[in-house]
Amino acid sequence: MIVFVISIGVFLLLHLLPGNPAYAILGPGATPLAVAKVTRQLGLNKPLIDQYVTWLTRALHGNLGTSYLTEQPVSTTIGHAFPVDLELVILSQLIAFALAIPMAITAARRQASILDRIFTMSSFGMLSLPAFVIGVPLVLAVAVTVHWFPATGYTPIYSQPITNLHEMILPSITLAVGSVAIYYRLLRTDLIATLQEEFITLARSKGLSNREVMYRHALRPSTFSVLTATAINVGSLLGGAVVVEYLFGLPGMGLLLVNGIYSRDYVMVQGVILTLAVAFVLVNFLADILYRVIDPRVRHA
Amino acid sequence: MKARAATSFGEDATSSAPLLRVRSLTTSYVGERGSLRVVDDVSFSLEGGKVLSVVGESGSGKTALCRSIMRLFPTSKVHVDGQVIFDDQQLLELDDLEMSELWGTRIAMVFQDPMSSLNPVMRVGNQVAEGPRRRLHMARSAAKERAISALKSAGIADAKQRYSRYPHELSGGLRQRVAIAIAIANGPKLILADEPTTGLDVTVQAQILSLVNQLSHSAGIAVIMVTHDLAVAASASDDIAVMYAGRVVEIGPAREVIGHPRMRYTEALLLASPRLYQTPHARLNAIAGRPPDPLDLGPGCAFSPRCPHADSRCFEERPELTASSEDQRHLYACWHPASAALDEFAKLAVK
Amino acid sequence: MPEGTESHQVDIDPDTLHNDAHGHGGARARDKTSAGVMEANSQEPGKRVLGPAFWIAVGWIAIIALAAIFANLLPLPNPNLTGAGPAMAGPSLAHLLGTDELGRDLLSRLIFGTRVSLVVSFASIAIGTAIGGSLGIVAGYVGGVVDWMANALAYIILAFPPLLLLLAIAAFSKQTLPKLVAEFAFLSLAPLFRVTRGATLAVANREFVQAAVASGAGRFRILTREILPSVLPSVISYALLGVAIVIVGEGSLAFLGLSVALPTPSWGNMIAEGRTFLAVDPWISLIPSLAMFSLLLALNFSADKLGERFGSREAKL
Repeated sequence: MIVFVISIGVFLLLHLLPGNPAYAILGPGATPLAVAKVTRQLGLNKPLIDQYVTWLTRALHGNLGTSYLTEQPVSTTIGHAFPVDLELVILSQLIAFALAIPMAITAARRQASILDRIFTMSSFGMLSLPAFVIGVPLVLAVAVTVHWFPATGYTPIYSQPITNLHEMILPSITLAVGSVAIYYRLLRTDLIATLQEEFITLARSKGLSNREVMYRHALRPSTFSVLTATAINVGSLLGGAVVVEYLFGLPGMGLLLVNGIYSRDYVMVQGVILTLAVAFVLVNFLADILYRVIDPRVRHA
Repeated sequence: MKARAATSFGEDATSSAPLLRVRSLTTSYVGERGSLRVVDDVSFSLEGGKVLSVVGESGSGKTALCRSIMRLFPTSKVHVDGQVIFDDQQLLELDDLEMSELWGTRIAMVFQDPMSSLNPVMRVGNQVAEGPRRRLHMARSAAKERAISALKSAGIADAKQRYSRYPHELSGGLRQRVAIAIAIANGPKLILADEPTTGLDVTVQAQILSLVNQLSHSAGIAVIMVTHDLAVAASASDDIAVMYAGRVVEIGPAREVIGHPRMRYTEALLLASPRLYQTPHARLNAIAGRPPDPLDLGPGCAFSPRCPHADSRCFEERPELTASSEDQRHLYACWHPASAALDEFAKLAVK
Repeated sequence: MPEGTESHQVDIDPDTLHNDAHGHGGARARDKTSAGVMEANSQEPGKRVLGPAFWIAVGWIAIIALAAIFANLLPLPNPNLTGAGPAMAGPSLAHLLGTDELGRDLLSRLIFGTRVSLVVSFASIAIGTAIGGSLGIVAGYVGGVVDWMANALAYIILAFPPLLLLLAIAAFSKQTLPKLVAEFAFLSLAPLFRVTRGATLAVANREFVQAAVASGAGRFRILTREILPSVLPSVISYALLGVAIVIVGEGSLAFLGLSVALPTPSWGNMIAEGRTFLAVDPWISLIPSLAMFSLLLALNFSADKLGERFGSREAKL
């Protein structure tokens, strides 16, 4: 249902904009003949509903059209670019969780301790470092100055996994920074609330160690809002990925999109945006399922 | 089933010294506005296989007493003085690690609200098995068997099926039975039950109380049961201690305390308890006034401002616990003790 | 007071202990005294005060805003004047922050660049709060079909990744300042609607509102006099976060070269431009990065403090 609404949205978005897209594609100096040709090619002379049905039917068959620029099928190009985003987002989220969970546990265990204050203050800092702000200093520090990681370049993960990881680490960290802050803050708040619960006191009265109480009893009931946040966060991650790919020259969907915009590759932009939007909806759908797995109360409600 | 419970969850308490001795226990919460004494100079003994009910109204310190014996507080800003001797061990002298070794294996707790004291996202069976598995280092299958038999002892008939349920799938009574199963799983000698029946309806309440009694007597477990409800205390305990403003004001065999209350506060509680007594004129005798502010106690009897029998002595001098002339084990702290037996009004059979 | 820590203070059963209302009320009053002592354990320090750090953050936002507003009056060279000094020079008296690759004054570009960020963010959030907020408060209070429809619409809008929407628009039309404001205002509608609606729902059933209803106050009066004041703090706190989010969004667009057209300076395009000269003169890019960081930090921090002060814990998204 939502996918359907989005498909209408993507379609309308690009059709309701003022002006003939053919002009946008060809640029201001286009001859009327060329405009007419492109208009026919794109089917722009037909009624809007017809255009939409044609487009949607093709999209459902995996046919997102042919790039006006490269004359390659858009779906093929996207097929090459999408794994880059997938890897980038997954790696960045792994990094974010690897940092945020231990930080939140440490902070929640000893509230108002020095570590708690340091973590909480630095979470404000991380929250204020979007990809385009942290990316440049990061490149400067680790790539330009000490040459630990390359600043640009991409090798597909299936050809040379090690090189690929080496190249992906800096971009992933750039993308992860904001997520760390969000997850840390949510998890810390929820952990503190959970630790006040009586079942935690009962777990302690069983003689379980602090560690066992934390990992076996407190952590899982505290992860619900982080899970929800992760799903919603994917939306801004996709946006952040555009910036990161542009910054590090990674041939992902973001770069495809930005280049498509620069070169007014109308069909490509439409395809990329539709794919990303559908991916976002799917992630939220998956999160919903995962939610049911983690919380038995929701499962039966 | 009774016999099995006795063999698997407890040893006979045959030693001569009482299992638990509490001497001059005093507990203070240390807060920003000074320290707040919530348990004040409390002493008593309890033998294995006996149930002691601690009765008092909200804020009388009965829960804090429980937690002091267990040394289980949500914060570290608590100061406990006095002596707690459990099984010849000075509990207050143990370090945190030694104390937590006793938790679950020798001393266990049952909480007021089984909905909030059971982990909502963990199968109940695993919550019961966790104790044997983590603390007695049993193998997974042995721990599971142990858990199932604990659930059975707690009166859950189809324990195997219930094992893999989540708390929200069980009724209130069943949840409290699970909580009791958790407490007895490792065969403790002392169970501290904090208002174990408060949230339950009256029928279920009676079942849980009889279960607690049966477990206690058959397995030789000493039980301290905290309650605000004298009817509960009367129907399900061997001894009763009445607390007021952090102090024990009357303590003795249940029959004596209910039948011949001496302390005026106990008497007032009984007269205000419709489930225990029918007053001659069918009128409930509410206790006038409000519970005392623990930060602002006078030198005298804490109950004196609300007591119809109080005189100037009551306000100036605090009465000590003294033995009743009829029963040496019955102690009360009152300058003007009641003398008339309330037996004639008794509605419920007292053990 | 945290649940479950001090259960003995709330476990009173009036049927068995106190049959008079007076005694019961007394027990409650007493609970408060001992709860007050205990509260020190469960509350984070300084929850009730905003603290000096908050005012420093607000002051910093104010300084940046004032500099942006009065940029014309400041003794600065034209931000687009090339060759105002030697190219890529370090700080000097004439150019406090040095110059960029075209010899333009960096301080001037930085201050004028603030304008785009601030105008877009504050204007769009102001519009978004006005429209989304009033819709939210009405939907939350009126309920019924209106609420259901508005909520469903908000859900659908939220199902679309916001930056993608902006990029899609940017794809086929040149960005101008008014357009950017309109786009971000539109994007901020749904979240602000939902926050306001949530806060309204939480308040609408509280006793003081019920009391106003019972006393015969009109709907409009209840909305403006009873609900609005209680909803406002959390909405303002959320709107401040929104400002930070819009600044990030605009900055990202500018970084990609899809915000206002060059050579108008904005922090985002300054960072992007300076990136090329990272190895030669990193400051061209680092200075706007730092400025952006400090402004976002101040916004996030003050929004959080406000939210904490008024006891609302909205999701930080």
